[in-house]
Amino acid sequence: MIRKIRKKYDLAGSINLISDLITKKPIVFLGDYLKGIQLLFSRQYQTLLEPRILWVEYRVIPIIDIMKIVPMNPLLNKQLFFLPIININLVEEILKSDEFFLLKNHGFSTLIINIPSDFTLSNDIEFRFKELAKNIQLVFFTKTSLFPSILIKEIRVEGSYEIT
Amino acid sequence: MKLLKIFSLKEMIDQWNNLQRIPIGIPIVDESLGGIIKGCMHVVNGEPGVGKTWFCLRIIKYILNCNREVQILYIDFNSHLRISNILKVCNSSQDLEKIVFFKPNSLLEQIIFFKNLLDNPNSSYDLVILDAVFGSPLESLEVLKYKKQIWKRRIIDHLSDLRELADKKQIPIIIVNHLLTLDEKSSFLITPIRQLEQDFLEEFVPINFLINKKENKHFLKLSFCHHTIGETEFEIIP
Repeated sequence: MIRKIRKKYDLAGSINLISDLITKKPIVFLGDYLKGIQLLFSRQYQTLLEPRILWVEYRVIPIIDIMKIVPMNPLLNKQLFFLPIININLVEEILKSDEFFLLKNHGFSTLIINIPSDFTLSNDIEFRFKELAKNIQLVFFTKTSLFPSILIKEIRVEGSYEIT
Repeated sequence: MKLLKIFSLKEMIDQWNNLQRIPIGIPIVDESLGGIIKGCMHVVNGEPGVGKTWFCLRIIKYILNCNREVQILYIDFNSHLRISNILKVCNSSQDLEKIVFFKPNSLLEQIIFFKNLLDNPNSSYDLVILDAVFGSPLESLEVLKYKKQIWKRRIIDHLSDLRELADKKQIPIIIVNHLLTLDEKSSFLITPIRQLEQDFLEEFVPINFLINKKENKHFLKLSFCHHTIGETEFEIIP
């Protein structure tokens, strides 16, 4: 059964987004990738991405954007970690690995995961995401149809810091 | 074997700063980035005839002139290289021996070539140039032979292999990409394919050299991770 909750937020209503983050429901960002990154690390959400964030990325990591964000959010220097995936064909292997699943024991409280658009979620990986979501805030950059049975929130990012 | 390699933000930045650079004799590139970067992918974008191949030859000439003991691999997909042009960049027959040329008959052959290179521990080059990475727009029509999904996966795999090769062997890889002209953009067959190729390049390649030609002058616009660093006029072969 596919369950999606689509919400529209205006800037005043962004407090709803904040409460959604607190409740730890997995979130999927849609739309402009770089704007999504900037939004996610903007000051208003800084304290809500709980400390020890792991960013799992198969694309080029936007170092310049991160270096612009960090001076505004100095805590990120100690909070932000990266798992770069050099070869896209390793994405599935990594998501299926016990090492990845055991990240919940390594003190990471937020996982940001960029998943290729043509990726197919196996039952195994979906189960692991559900388990991880119990204790870790999951934030995905991918298509929402990837998650047929996980309750998710969609955030569409277009233009400049707009949440629609 | 440890699958996960996790880096702190500081380690990521240090890693980037510690990558070795090779100056190429173009001030805007050498001063802002240090040159082309080992372990990194670079793309030379431009419409046909603006001088993308000459830009690559210019880089080769500069590196050879620095008396470096180098081995350069040049993949000439589009047969843009002419013997006369190669001789302009090589000062001697010894220089010519430093360049290995390969002309794949198809994109698939190119893909297989690089998979073999990735798996071969003895292969070693100081610079790899692919001219052009996806072939010419007409070769995109090959895509019509395959299902689009299979083709997409093939392109993504290829770019992934190139990136892994660059990272594993610490080689700078330069790929030449043909941007659509206005006429080509009106082609309903070619445009969607080329747009996908462009999207994939943005995902995998951080350094972008955009070449333009106006009134017989050549211009280079340098971008890094989607951010424009600057623009400069340059001579094709100084």
